Amino acid sequence: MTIKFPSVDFFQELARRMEADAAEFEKLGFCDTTLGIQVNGDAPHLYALTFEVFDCTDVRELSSPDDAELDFTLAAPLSLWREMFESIKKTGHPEPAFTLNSLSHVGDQMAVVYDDPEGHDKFYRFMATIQAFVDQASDLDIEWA
Amino acid sequence: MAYYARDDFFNNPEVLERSVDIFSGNLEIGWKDLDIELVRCRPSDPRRGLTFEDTNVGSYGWDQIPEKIRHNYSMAPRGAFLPEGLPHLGYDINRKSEVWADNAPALYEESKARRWNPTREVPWDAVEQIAHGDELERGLAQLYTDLTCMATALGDIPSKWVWHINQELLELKMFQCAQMFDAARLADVARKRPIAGGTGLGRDHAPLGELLKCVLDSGNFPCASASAHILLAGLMQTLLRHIGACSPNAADQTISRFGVQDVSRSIAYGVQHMQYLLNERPDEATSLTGHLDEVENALIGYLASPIFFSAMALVTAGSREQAADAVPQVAALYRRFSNEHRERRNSAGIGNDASPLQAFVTELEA
Amino acid sequence: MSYYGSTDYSYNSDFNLRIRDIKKGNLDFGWLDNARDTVEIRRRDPRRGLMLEDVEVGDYAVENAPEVVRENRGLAPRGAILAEGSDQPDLGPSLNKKSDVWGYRVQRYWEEAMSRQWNASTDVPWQDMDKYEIPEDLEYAFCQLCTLLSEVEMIATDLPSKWSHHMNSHFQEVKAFIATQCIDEARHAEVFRKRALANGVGLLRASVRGEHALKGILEADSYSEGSVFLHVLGEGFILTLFRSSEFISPTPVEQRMFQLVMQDEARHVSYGLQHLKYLMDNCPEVRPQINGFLDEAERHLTGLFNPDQLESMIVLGGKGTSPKCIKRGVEVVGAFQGKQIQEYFHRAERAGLPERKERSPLLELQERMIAGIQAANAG
Repeated sequence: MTIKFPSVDFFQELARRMEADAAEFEKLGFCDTTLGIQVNGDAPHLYALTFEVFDCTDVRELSSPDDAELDFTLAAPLSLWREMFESIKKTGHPEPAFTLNSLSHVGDQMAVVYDDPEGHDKFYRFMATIQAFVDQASDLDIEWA
Repeated sequence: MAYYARDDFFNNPEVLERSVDIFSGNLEIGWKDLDIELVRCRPSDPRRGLTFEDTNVGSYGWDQIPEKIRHNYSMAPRGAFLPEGLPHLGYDINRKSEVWADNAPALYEESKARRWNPTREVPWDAVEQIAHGDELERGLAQLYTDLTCMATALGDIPSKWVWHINQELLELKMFQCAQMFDAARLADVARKRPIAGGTGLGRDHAPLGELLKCVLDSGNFPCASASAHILLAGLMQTLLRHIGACSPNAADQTISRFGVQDVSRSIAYGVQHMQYLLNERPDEATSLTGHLDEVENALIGYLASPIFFSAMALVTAGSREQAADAVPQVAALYRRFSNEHRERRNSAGIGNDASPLQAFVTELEA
Repeated sequence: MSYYGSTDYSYNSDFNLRIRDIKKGNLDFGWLDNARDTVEIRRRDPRRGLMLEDVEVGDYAVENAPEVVRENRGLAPRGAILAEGSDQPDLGPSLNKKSDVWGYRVQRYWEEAMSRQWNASTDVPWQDMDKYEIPEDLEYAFCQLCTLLSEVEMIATDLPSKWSHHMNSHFQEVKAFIATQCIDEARHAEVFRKRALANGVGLLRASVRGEHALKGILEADSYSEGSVFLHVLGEGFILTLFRSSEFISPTPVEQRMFQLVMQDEARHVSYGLQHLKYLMDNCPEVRPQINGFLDEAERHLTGLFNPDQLESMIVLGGKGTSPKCIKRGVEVVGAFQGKQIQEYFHRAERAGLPERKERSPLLELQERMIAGIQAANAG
């Protein structure tokens, strides 16, 4: 089964896998944040992912950042998201240059958009959970938009 | 601001010049030519991971810490190259035997490996549907209130001393950080439990305050260690075991089981610390014995205090009505505690068969 | 011995009478007769378990506690029935004002910290180290970086512990949270030490200038000053440094290490930010004092930019010591330094100190460095 990226279905599949792999995520601890995933390109998309306790409890597409209270948003062009997920597919984990931290840190290839530094710091506070969440796409057959 | 560095780095042109030089691509890489010991430490048992025991090698290991530390008063990690000009960070515990126990690194590892989370691991649904009576619940609540105070003291002891201790003794300092965390967790669960049970917290009372003040106001670290780790942690161990044994509630059994584990690490450290200290400085035994006897004086004031004793009797019997009948059982519990405490004191090298606790329990049994 | 209890029970007739009474079964249940009303507590979300906020009701809630705690001089938890004043031994807490220590959301940070503990011995894939070959230059550079990090992390155990035992037990959440900080930071010092010793090199050179900055933190005059220096300024800068270090890590083993330490560090920064905010909201008269302190603290912090740290990060960032690698490394490290300063000003602004950007010496330092580099390149 192929799954399209970006799409609500894609993130919902990751959320489903997160729930199925509860032990792994419980080990990483509580994760309480609502973050944005912004895919830039000809047809931009913005998704709000809500994490509560050990689960991703809500995935929805937003028409505007104001439609949800986002702690922070990870924004990058589609090509970069694709490179990141293709890197994850190779071994189950991204190569050093393609972790969420690396991409958002040097050169700001992936922008971290935020208003409140407390919200910004949640990106770091829950980094291991968020990275593990996207790493679950390693064996997904992705159809790129 | 209390500290102004002798060199105002901000206005030191050499500092700026060197930084500019580096950012212009001129690196010295002097750190590659230092005379240091090269090591490759790997996990000896993959199931345990890379432990401190695995890194106890050569100049990096704790075996080579001198009894009197004269060479380093900074935060530089043990075994690192120490350049000229490192400041004194104010450490005034610079003698290994003052604080060291050979089991401290392993206890630190154990503490991490056996961590738990009372918020989730206690079956709180059992507290939401308490099947036992109100009196027993209020008795338990009183004991938990006392335990919260004791746990706070058990955390305040390392808090009070760790920042005085030379950084060379780092595994020991790390164990003390683990003790602070363990104690905070115990204080958290001991406070949550009676509130969640509905009766709420019980009373603070003077004899407990007297005991904890004696422990906290110990004049030096060895005295603080003997009174907190051997006496107070021993008392907490007994109390937690008793709660687990008497309460029919699953939550109390869980708290008891995890709590006992945590305080037992402190006891293990305390006994070995005394052994290490007295092996190095046997003359200290006299003052430590006298100190512990004095803290025991406050301890018996607490053990016989109206609130604590009656709460213990109530919890042992299960109801107020039958509490008087449980006095012999409480006395027997005190006997067991005092025997264990005496064994620990003897093992630590600071025994006294005629200590206040022994005399008190004998009198209670008479 | 510094304190002798008020009663010597060896020679006390009242005590002997009490033992006699106990043996007869005459127990005093006054505390049971005068018990307080019950409360009803339920977990709001059973998956989380019983959170501190679930038990924040009535006398137990911090919002119902006074700003200055006068009644409790012992170790009683907030909400316990206190002994009468004259009967209560004074254990001498000196931080008794909520704004001295409190931070918004500290209960949440405590729960989060308990929930997100990890183990440096087993959660870093040490067994994978043999899978990777790290060039010698990079291994040395990484060990130099680990030396600095192992050195600075323990300040964040010494400073909180220095103040925790002075805090009134009615602020148990703060004491608990900073106890988690102590174990977090011990774990950080541990993981960097272990890594330096794990792969054929060892610990390298300690930092004289860095140590002066650490001394500035440890010797702050008040807890709030120490907190703003440690949590907001120092750990804020270290958080950005961790992010960079994850990026320049030679293998996934080191990457994992930085991902884990970063989470802890961000929690400490958040607490510091919320303490500063609480302080500014509730005690605005201390603003000049905090600003004056930060003026000097920021100067101290320049000591953390020591040559060994910069050089090692440049070598790691450029992945070697050739001129081309160093050029790349300089770009990487330059970018992260700018980010450190920007993020610090943003945090200070949100905490209620927007003036830091105007009066901070950090921007001046940055400008001087940029001018110096331009002049050097032009020459």
